[in-house]
Amino acid sequence: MSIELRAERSWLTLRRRNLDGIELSVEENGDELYLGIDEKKLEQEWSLKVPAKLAMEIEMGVGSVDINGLQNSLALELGVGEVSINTVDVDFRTIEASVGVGDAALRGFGPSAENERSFVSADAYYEGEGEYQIKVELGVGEVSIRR
Amino acid sequence: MKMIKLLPYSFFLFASTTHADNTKLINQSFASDDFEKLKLELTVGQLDIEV
Repeated sequence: MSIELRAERSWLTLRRRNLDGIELSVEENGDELYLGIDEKKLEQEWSLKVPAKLAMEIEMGVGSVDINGLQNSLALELGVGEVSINTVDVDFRTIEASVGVGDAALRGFGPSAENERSFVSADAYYEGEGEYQIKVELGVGEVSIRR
Repeated sequence: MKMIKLLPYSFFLFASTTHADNTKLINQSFASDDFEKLKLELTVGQLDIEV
């Protein structure tokens, strides 16, 4: 896993903050591993290689999430941004994606996948025979989930 | 040398210090055998996950 942190420039002084004191928070709670950096005015680029056996729960404010090879459960909450998920060729029990303002699309899941759009919001839903679940909640932006 | 001649140099010095990228790289690995779930929390940025 690698994380690159980049401090945003201060409007007042035009200087960037010192990053030396910022560390990755690591917590182990039973069978759950928590990793987080709760710092504002800080742009973070995370690049992770994750074993397939791990389910994931992600909370993020603003940005983009790109997941490749998903074959386990995922719960993702993003305020503003874009989500792109590519699953491997396994079935899921349910897939739910809801976007407050923007678009949500499931592709490659056959005719049982439903993509609905209203005035500004969008919802996508799929129910299958698999074991795992995907749930994506996005405030503003686009969600794309492909198989 | 008159102070006025130092102005361009001070401007370039200021510009180079304020535009230098302040970045930090964290490389870390974890043994996954003991875990069933991974929880991630971040504020602003880009998250790329390869399973």
